[in-house]
Formats: sequence, C-alpha cells, structure tokens
Amino acid sequence: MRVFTKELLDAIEKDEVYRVIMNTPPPDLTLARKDAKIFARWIAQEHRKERDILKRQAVSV
Amino acid sequence: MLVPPLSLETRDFVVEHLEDSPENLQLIRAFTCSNNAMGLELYLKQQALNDEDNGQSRTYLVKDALTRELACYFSLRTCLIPYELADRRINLSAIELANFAVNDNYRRSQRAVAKIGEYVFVEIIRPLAKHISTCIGAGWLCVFALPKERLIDYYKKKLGFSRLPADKEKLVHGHVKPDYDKDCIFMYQRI
Repeated sequence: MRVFTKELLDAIEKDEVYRVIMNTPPPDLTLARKDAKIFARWIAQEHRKERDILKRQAVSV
Repeated sequence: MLVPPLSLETRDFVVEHLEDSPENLQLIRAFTCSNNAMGLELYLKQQALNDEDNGQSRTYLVKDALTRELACYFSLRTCLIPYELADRRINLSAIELANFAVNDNYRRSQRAVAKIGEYVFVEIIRPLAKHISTCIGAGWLCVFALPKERLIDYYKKKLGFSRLPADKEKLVHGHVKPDYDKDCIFMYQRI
C-alpha cells in the first residue's frame, strides 16, 4: 500500500517532471480527426461500390 | 451503471481479439510490415499470443468489415510512468500503446487517400483507452516510439503525443521493453 506523507506530496507537486506531465494540455487531434474523416468517407464509398458489385454478381448467377 | 458498454466496431471495420475467429491465425501469418518495423511484424507473429496468455498485453486486430482482410493491429498494456524524485521512485498510471502497425498487404493501405492510422487511432484506440481508464484509473496514453524523426513527428503532429524536455526524458526510465524498443522515445498524451 502506498503511503503519501504531506512532505512527499509537496515534493511531488513541486517536481518539474511531474508538473510538465500534469500540465500537458489535452492532445490536439484536429489533424488526426480531419484525416480520419477523409478516410472514413473514402472507405465507406469503396465498400458501397464493392457491395454493389457483389450484389450484381449474385443477381447474375 | 459502473462501466458503460463499449462498441469498437465502426461501419467499415471490426475489431477482434487474436483468437476470436479461426481465420485470424491465417491472417496473422500473412501480415507484413516493412518500413524498418520488422519488430512489429515479429511481435504479432511470435509474441502476441504468449503475452495474452501471460496477461502482459492485449492485442486487437482491426479487420475490414467487408473483405475480412487484416488491416492493422495494436496492443495495449497497462504501464507506469516512472521517474525519480530525490531518493523516491514515483509512478503515474498510464496505458501503453505497445504496438501499432498497418498491414502492408492490406490493399487499401496502399492508396494515396489512406489515412488508416489516424482513423484507427481516433475511432478505436482512443475510445478504448478512455473506456479502460474509467475502469482502472489511468491518466495517460503512452508510446515508446522508434527513434526516427519522421515517426516522432507523426506521433507529435498528427496523433497529439508530447515529448518531455530532453533533460527530463532521461528521468523517465525503468520500462521493461522488448528488444526492438531499445532507444525508443517516450511520448505521452492525456487520455
């Protein structure tokens, strides 16, 4: 079990590595989300085309 | 509800564990990963199942919902961000994205439009990490990125990972890593 004394907690909060990590802002995912959207649209379109082909093949058999 | 349900499936991809389907072993055998990332291919083929059996990590296969091709895979494990404070060792709870690779043989990954890495990260990996963090308490998602400028840049600019200042990076230590993680760069982001 971990025991945190007040002294240790104070030291942790003053520690630079701790502060750097804790103060890191949430990730900026703007670019990733933009690319993910482009990919999602594209893959949906590809799948639609392929499903249509499969349907046509099934009908012609 | 203590833990809300989570569905990882998107309209176009399904996510499975290694042994969820009999076809998976065959798909894994056919997985290739160039770009100097042979370690990621070997991990999936030789180590992933052992790590699952031993409770060391969990590997997820992302499969094309229509063709059932293996598009990519990733592994998650719990981890600590350890650093030294005076004579004490302090740990922060985190989740490690231990492996993340796109299958070279997945034909769609070769197209110019392909942004499958970003898609899987945003639509599957982050929601899963968020979900796990609600169960176990983990504040960060970490990677040990191969020390390649382009890759580090990709993780930073595209996927939103941060690096510690150079002089602080050395203080984060002690991770047990597979050989191919040697010299890798620690990166992290808030979940």
